[in-house]
Amino acid sequence: MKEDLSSFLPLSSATLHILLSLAGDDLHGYGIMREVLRQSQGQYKLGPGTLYDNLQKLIEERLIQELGQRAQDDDPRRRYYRLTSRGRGVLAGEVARLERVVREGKLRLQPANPRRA
Amino acid sequence: MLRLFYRWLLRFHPTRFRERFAEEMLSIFDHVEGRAAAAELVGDAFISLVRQWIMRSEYWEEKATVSVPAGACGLPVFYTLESYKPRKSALIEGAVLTWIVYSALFLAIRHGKVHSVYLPSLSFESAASSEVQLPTSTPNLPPTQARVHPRTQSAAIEARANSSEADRPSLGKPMPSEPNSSARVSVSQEQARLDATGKLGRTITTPPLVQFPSQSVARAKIRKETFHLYVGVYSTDVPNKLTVLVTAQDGRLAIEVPGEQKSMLVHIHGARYAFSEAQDNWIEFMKNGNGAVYGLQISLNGSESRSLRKVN
Repeated sequence: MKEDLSSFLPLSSATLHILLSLAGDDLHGYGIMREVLRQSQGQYKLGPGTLYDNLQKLIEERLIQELGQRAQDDDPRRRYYRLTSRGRGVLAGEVARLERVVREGKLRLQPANPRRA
Repeated sequence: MLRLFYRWLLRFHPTRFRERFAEEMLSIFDHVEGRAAAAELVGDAFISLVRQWIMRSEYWEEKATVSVPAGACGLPVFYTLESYKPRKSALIEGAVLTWIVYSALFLAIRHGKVHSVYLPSLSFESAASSEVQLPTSTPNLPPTQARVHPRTQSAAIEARANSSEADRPSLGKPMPSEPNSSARVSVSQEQARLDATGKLGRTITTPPLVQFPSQSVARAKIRKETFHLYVGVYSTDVPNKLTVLVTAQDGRLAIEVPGEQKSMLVHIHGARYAFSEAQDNWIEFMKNGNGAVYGLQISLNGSESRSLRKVN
């Protein structure tokens, strides 16, 4: 039975960016911050406080999971995070919602057709 | 220096958050380059500290693990609810809130205006009746043991016994101004009954009537002759001259105070009478050794003064 994930929507900007950054690869905290900066083309800068506050919440909601240390030569203090299938479903739902918003926005912003006299 | 301050800020985060993320946050701090970026992280840590303590109380402590016992075929036979343990801060907040509510309640009761309680009215109109003083005392005092005239005593007992349910004291219910006819006592019948039972002339221990502070009134009808002892003009000389006129009207005493409405007086006990409209106000007649009234003590809105009798 498919779980209803609509209760998670809409996502906050920070949550959306974090889930989006983890959609490609498993990342540690600093990697997520850099990926978010890259995705937003430098417009959205996520601080560690906001990042780990969101990570804490997302782990509780089982949208992401903690992997622990990965590479041998990496900083031992770093932990890696992975998007769960549940998190992926929530992200897909949010992307679909944003698509509808974008479509609606484009429709509204189209130049109005001149009325016939 | 900034790193030390950053670490110090992380140390003050809630335990669960600190144990889980502090080292990782510190590693990020170590990776950033430039003093401006480091200062930015310090600001971010400060905001995070406030946010975690104010808005993230649900993450302060580890969740209790839920144990689900397994049945014979591996399925749980029942589910247990998560053992709920309230936060310490919630308990403190609850205690403070309770204290505030109870304090407000006690203050409201203490300073409340409406808490009058009346006791039933009694009337004695037999030939043997005289000025009957009902025993009144505070609830804490022991029962009054007194040798009283058997007729008077039996009348009081009978009057109490015969008082109907409607005459029982009740909060906020004023007693009727006229005495109940059932309270009237035929002394001869009562004397005959006591003679038959052999109780006449014995010492009787009477329990005190319950009197509520300053508000309760046990009224007894006073003989008209007694009024003449009290009727007159009373005044104080210094510092604020106050003239009080006490009159008899319709079988009751009345008082006129300048600036106040004429008020009927209600007998409380002894020579003390309360104003029928405002029973916090009262007067008490002062008598000399011969029983002659030479003045009165008056209590108006909490301030007391003494007046001497000027005109009879």
